[in-house]
Parts: sequence; structure tokens; C-alpha cells
Amino acid sequence: MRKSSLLAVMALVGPVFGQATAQEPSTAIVTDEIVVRGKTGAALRLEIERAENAVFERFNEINSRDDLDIRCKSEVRTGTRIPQRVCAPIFLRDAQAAAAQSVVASLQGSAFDGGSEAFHAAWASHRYLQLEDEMRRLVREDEQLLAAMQRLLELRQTGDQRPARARADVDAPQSEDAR
Amino acid sequence: MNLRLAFSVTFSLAAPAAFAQAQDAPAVDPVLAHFREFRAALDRGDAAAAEAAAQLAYDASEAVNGQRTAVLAINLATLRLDLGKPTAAYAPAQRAHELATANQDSGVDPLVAALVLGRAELAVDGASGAERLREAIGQAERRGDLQNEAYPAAVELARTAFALEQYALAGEAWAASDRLAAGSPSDPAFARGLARTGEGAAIFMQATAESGRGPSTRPAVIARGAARDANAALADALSLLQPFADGGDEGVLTLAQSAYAHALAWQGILRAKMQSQGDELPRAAGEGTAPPGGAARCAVRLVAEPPPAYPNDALLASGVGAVVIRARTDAQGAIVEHQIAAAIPAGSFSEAVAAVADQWRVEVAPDAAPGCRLDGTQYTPILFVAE
Repeated sequence: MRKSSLLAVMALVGPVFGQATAQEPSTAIVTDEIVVRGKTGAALRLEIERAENAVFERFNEINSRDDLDIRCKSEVRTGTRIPQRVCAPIFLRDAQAAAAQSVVASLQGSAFDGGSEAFHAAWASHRYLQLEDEMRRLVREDEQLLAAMQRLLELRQTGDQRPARARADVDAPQSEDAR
Repeated sequence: MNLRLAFSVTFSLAAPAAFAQAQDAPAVDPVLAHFREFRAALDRGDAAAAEAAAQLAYDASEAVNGQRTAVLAINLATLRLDLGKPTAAYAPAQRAHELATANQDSGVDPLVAALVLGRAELAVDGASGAERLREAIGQAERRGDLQNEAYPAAVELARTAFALEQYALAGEAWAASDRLAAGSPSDPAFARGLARTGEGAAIFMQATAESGRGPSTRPAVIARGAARDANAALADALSLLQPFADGGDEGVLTLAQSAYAHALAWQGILRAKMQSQGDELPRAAGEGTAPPGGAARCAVRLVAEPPPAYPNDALLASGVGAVVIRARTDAQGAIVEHQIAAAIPAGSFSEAVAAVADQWRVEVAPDAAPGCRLDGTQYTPILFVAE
């Protein structure tokens, strides 16, 4: 829609300049600017990664068993060349390795494959419950882990609240007669 | 401010000696009768009646192939442009231009006709109108006697180009309106302030758009040179508009206050953009100095607690923003009124500020002069910097 003429608006609408007040008016001043800082999408992802590392490092330090330790690594998944960060407990990686070995063994006709794939999945699921219990207990007991977890949840919440569609970097300015 | 001022160009064009002489004649022809109605309507400030009478006068003259048809056509076109009806202005503007360029005795300067047609054409065919106006404005600047006609044309070209994201053309047209500011119906300093704001905004947007082109998905980065030019224009604008930013304490922003706040907001978003790319904006000459008469005011700062939340939608796009809040304080320094005076871009940034601004207060700086005044108006830029 075309905007109406600035001059017409200046002539027909509202005051252009303010009226002087009865008391001698003081000059308008500009105070120091206030800066609000925010994390962009990329910065937020990096921040979340750091917060995850802080949680896992503390958890790994104080948990009761080493195979509950969580390790993160960058993996290239099938169908994409973009590496993705994957974090998993050691027991899960062990279970996956054992399950893979079982598949190979069964293909080779071995009767002693160390357990079926289903067995390894069930075992991993059981260990996951243990991991969750351990994590809950330690968050209650350890202030440092609690703080790290809270920080991570806050950051993830910020990320979740974002709409799916991006908007323009800077919109067109408000015109003088648009108000 | 009334209709008469807005239509001063129209009025002067439509009052040639031929009409004055005809007023004394006993038999009143329809052209003259409608022209008198038009003048009377202008005197009453009745825009609708003036437009209707101008149309009838033009039609009556056209019907008899009158000598003053070009004058009446441009009269009607100019009136409609001033009323914000550029599409309706196009046909009479086109006719006036046709007659003016075909006949030296039409009573209408062909360059004036080109300026009026170009303004109307912007609404009908933006590209043709822009090209015609650009050419006509240049000619008018060289001639030097058509500032009243060329100034509104330059402003309209600038604003249309900006809206169409043709920022280089917008900047060029704002620069022309700065040079033609003596032709503004308001204070030339105010007109120059608007023009310099527009130039600064156009430079900023042009630089942002240029760096955002290409296959990269990284946020646009504004070059330092462009940032310096934009900042210099905005510093000029603030200096020119500052004297108009006072008064009007009825809770409604005057156009001048809004213009001042918008200049501050453009400067704010420029600073925010530079900070977001890890750069600091060099201060323009004269920037940051206290305005004349400001010595009696206490140095204060706005305590923005709680701070506004950064809008998530802006963060996702690495978007920066600036909001200007205008607060009026009483003699004790309490905020008696505040409002969002400008926001760039409009929308979520101003909503974020509005959500918490009721809880903010003004604090006197520790180094404030003893006995200084606390009552008055302060403008505070709030920068949203995406990191």
C-alpha cells in the first residue's frame, strides 16, 4: 500500500512541534544507552554444548560406576555428511558393540555369540534406568551438578521457545506518517 | 497548520491574472464559478469540497478546450497529492504534463508538470515515476527556483524507494531533499533533520543488503566505512532535530519528537549491528556533547530493571534492534509518563520493552551538579545486540 504524503500529513494531522509549557521548559536529554544482549542460534547451540559438557563432566566425576560415564563425540550418520554430536553412556556403546558382534557371530554360524541382540537391548534399557536414578540422586546431593543442570535446562528452554521460521534481519523502518 | 498552508503551491498556480480579471465580468462562466467554489472551500478548510470543485473546474475547462486547462489540471493533481491520493492525481497530472510540454503558453512550467506527474506516477508505475522524478529533481536543483515543488517530490521519491528496498536511490533522494529543504513547508532545519535521518537509514540498509547477498547463510555484516557514513548522517539529524524534541507533554508524541526518536533508533540499531559483529562504531564529530541549555539538567540514567527479554524470533535470525523510550520526570525525578517513541524494527523489540518498562526508574548520576533540575524529558536508546 502506498504511503500518504508526508507533507499532507504534516499539514492535516496533529502537532508537528510541541507547545512550550508555562514553566520554562528544560531541554530534552539523551541518557546512556541500555544494551540487551542475546545469543543467536549458533551461539546458543554452542552454549548448550558447553552446558552439556559441564553436566556430563561433573556427573562423570561423582557417579558410582565408570560405565555410567557419558561421553560425547562427533559422528557422521548415514545419509548426511554433516557430523552430529552424539552423547551416550559408556555402557550403551559397549552394548551396541556387543550387539554388533552378536550379529556378525550369528551370520558366521557361531553358537556362542555371547547373547542375542534383544538381550543386549534389554540390558541397555535396564542400565538406562540405573543411569537415570543415579543422575536424579546426584542432582539432589551435589550443588555443582544441580547448578550445571539448571543452566542446561534454561538454555534448552530458550531454544525450544523459538519459532520455526526466521524473520528478516532488519525490517523496513516505520515511516513518519505510519503512526 | 491548516489546509491553506498545505495547498499554497496549488493556490499560487491556480490564481493567474486571467482569473482575477474574469472575476469582474458580469457573466460567470462555469470554469470560473467552480474555481471560486474551490477557493472558498480552501478558505473553509474543506478538502473534499475543494477537490470536487477543482475537478469540476478542470472538467469545464477541458470541455471548452480552455486556455487554462493545464493550470486547472495541475491544480487538481497537486491538491490530490497533498491529500495523499496519488493514484487519483495521475490522470490530471498526465494531462497537465502533456499540455505543458506541447504549448509554451499553457501557463504551467513543464518542469513543474514533470515533478507533479512523477509524484503521481510513483503510485501507478513506480519505476517510471522514479526515473522521471530523479531526472526532474536534478533539473530543479540546477535551476534553483523550484525548491517548493522539488522538495516534496524528493521526499516522496526517497520514501517510495526505501519502501521498495531501493536503498541507493532512497539515499540519493534523501540527499536531494536535504539540499532542497528550504522548499519545505515546515522549518528547514526540521526538514534537513528528516532528510539526514533518511540518508543514514538508507546507507545502513544498503550496506546490510549488499553484504547479505550471495550464497552465504551468515548474518549480514556492515562495513566500517558505510557505518561511519550512516553514523555521520544520523549525528547530523540528531543535532538538527534536537531543538524540536521538547515540549508536548500531553502524552502524545509530536511529529518532531517522533522524528527525533526515530533518528536515535536508527543510530541505535547501527550501534547494535556493529556491536553484534564485534566492532565498535566510531563516534561522529559533535556526537555525545550536551545540547545547548542542557547544563541545568541533572545527569540521569534510566535503570532498566528488570531488563527486557531478547525476542526469540529476532535471535533466530541474528536480528538486532533498537527501541527508544521517552520518559518524563517530575521535580523529584519520578517518572510521570513514559512511552515507546520509536522502534526499529517495529514489533517484538518494542513489545519486550513495553512488558517491563513500567517497573523502570530514573536515577541521578553521582556526578550530577548540585541544584540541577530533575524535571524534564529524557530519551533512552535500548540496543538489542545479538552475539
